[in-house]
Amino acid sequence: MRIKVVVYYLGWSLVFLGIFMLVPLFCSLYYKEIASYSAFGKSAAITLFIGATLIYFTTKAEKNLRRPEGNLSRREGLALVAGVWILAAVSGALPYHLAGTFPSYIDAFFEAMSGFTTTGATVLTSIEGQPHGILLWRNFTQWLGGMGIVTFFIALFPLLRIGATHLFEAEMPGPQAERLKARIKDTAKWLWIIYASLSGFEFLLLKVIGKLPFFDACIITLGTMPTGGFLHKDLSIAAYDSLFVSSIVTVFMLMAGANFGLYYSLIRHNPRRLFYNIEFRLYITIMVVASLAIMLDLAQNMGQPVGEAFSQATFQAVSIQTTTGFVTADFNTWPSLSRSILLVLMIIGASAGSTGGGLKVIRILVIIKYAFRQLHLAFSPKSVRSLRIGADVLPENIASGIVSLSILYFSALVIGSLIMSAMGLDLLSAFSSVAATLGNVGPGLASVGPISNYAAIPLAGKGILIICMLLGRLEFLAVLVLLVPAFWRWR
Amino acid sequence: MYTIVVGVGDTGYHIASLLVKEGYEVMVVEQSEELADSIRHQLDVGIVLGNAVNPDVLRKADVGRADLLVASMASDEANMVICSMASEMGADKTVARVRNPEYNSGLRTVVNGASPDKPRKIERPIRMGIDYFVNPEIETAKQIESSLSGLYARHARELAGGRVQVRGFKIENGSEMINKTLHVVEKMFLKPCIVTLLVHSKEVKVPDGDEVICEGDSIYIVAKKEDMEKLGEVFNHKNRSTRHVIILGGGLIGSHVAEELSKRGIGVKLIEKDKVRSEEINARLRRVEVLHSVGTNRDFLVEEGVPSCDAFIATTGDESLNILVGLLAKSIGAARNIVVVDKPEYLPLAESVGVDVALSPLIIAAEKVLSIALHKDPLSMVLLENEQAQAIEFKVDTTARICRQSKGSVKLPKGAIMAAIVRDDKVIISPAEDEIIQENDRVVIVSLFSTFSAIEKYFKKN
Repeated sequence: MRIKVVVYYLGWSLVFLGIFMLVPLFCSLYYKEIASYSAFGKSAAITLFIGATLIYFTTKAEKNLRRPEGNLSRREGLALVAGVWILAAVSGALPYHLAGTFPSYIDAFFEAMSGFTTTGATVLTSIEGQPHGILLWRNFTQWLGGMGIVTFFIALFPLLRIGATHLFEAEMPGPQAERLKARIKDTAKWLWIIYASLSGFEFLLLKVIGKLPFFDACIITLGTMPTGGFLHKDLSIAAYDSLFVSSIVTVFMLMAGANFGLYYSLIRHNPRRLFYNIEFRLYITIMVVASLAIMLDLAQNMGQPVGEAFSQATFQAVSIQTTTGFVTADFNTWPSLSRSILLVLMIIGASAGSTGGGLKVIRILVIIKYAFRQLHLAFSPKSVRSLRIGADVLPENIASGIVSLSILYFSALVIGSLIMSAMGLDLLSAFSSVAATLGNVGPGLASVGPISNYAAIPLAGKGILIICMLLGRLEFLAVLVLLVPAFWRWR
Repeated sequence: MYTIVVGVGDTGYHIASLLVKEGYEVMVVEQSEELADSIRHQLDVGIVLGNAVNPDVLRKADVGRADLLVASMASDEANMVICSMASEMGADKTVARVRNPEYNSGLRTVVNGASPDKPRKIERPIRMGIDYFVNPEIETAKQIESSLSGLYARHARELAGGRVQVRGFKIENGSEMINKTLHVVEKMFLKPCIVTLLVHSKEVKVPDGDEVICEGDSIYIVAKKEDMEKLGEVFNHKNRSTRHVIILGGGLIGSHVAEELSKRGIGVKLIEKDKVRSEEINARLRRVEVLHSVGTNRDFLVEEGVPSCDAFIATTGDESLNILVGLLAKSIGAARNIVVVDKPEYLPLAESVGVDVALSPLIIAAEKVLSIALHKDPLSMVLLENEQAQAIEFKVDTTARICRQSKGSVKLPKGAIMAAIVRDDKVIISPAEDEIIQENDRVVIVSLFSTFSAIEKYFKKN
């Protein structure tokens, strides 16, 4: 592996991050918040300086890349993606730390990682007291992380060539990175275009029809589209107490949790594909069934009027399954069936190729079919049954990849919960905190529930959860391969 | 420009990779999952899995939007069917790779009248929606012939209907050109010519005139056809004109070369290892002497007159055998050797161990497809120096941006040089700065690969 090449691109990613920090900087300037203004100025300067230094010392490596055989290798791609995400959180934590939002850097790092991975788990105890710049930066990191920082580079960097394929596949959630266009660069560009225009659309709806203040509409949008879940209100979406706002947010969460490739086919040629897509159908079905079950449970056991039960159940089911993590009600006080359903939704997660997290609907479908096939083979060992997803047959190597990833996912869930319990969390908090960070959801249950936060978790526990968030966002591979010794040997 | 390549075996892969390098959007249709999987990590192309003979698969590849479809599956018939369907489904141009010459033997290429400026008209009995046939073997055979018609070892590549030639020369030890600038070198030749590419320790560049030549460099010179042979004298020893040729391998390439050469009255011996095939060739080509032998035996080669032959051409399907026997033939006295190599990456290696001309049907086919892709009316283009550079011929339309501009006012991108203008019967080599480019001129540009789209702009509508 050519470390210098990786460092060269890491340098560029820092430069980009430094430039992105100017956005909250201007916001602080506008609201005349001197403390956070200087914090952003300093962190942007530090990030840009380090980035530029890295580039300066590795420019020779860049020449190497221009040669026809100098493409980014698969290893370099994986290392680069993991590196970019870690560095993003490290530098994204600087403003929080310098502005004095958190006295400890680990807390700042937690908040930044939670932002970039679109988790939305916060360690801020009082959100509303924070300066506007800091609040914007929290949600801006989510928005960048939503469609993927690396995907953003691919859309802009011409030099990556075929190396971009490795990067794209390592970052894009889901078992198979789908290409919208023949060229990877165009694919990345289109994904960002769709993402940005949906964001713009939501912003306009909230601003013009919902009549929300500019800043609020902006923050809500930046929290919804990446299925992030940060908000500048302690009460989350419940603070607005408006049916219009919560239904708009529901619709856009739903869209953000579906495969973006479907929107492309919707505008380009084949609108029917959306409804024939098996994953999309299952995604909607799960959501509808879960909402109805929760609604009945709420109406039955909490005595809520049906209308209110419906709106709360739908919003919460959508918010948790898309792994956004917005709240309109304290579901900690809900009956245990509803809470269990939410916990299951956390693990299932959104669709592949979306901005959402979790195990992904398609993988659930595949492992169920896989297990079912095994059952069938038990009594009829010679029968040949291919795994069908809609009209297509899933290749065996992809199926086994999905199964092994699911094993990793569940093992991480179990091991993480064990460690969190060892730190003194009760059973439900320990399990749900890991499930909520691994799935990039945000709020869990019990002591990490919707109205509480992650501030009370011990330091080492925060470290574990930070790792969970990164593992969940990059879907294990890009992070875990770095731990395999053979990865660093030879080339 | 959106192109679809069906089948990514060796030829298809090479075509797709060249198209990607030129900056086209490429979609690949491939049946084999394994091949598709490996190409996904090698080329920046979209992939559709499936057999393209099925219209649904073609539709998935968005064939209606395609500007060009290249069918290069293993079967000739499948390629023809695919092209035919694709053009019905809306593909702009289709190219079928066809091995069996009988399929396009009835389709004659007719050049209208004497003026080469008029577009070529292609007469076909039945169109079938196939716009171009590309036959790698026959094209290779043609190139072998054309390299034999010159008097020097390395062959010249032709542009503008053969009136302009590009030829690579290696600067050998003791040449009087060493340490001179290109300006001086161009004057040494007495005839109008221009040095368009300089290859210095494997780095290719388009030089300015002040560049100095070192030993071991290669240069590519553009000149008129009639001057090129004279120019060659400065570099190489002149060969006799070709009279006796020995060909190894009676496959498509070998038998085609044998047929064409024997028609021109050149004495041809053809060595074929397969008994039945050699009898077949003997029955068809009366004037060719067919020898049934493996042809790797030194004594056999000596006895059959290799030491006194003018060219030894190795065309078997085994590229390593071709190279080795080619070298053997040269070592026992053949004036020059021409060798067919499949893998493009072996070409420079073959030439570096002493093969005079190494040709790859893959590259030749890809070149042909590229020249079709590049133009509405395909004029010519040739790839130079292991596909790192190219010479292209453009036709100037009335609406082109470059039309009625002086050469000096056209700022071609870095790495491109205007080498020649062909106007009616006149060939202007290295046009002066104030030369005005007129409509219907044909302009020959030599450039590094991948600058194409930047150059193409000048020949598009303003």
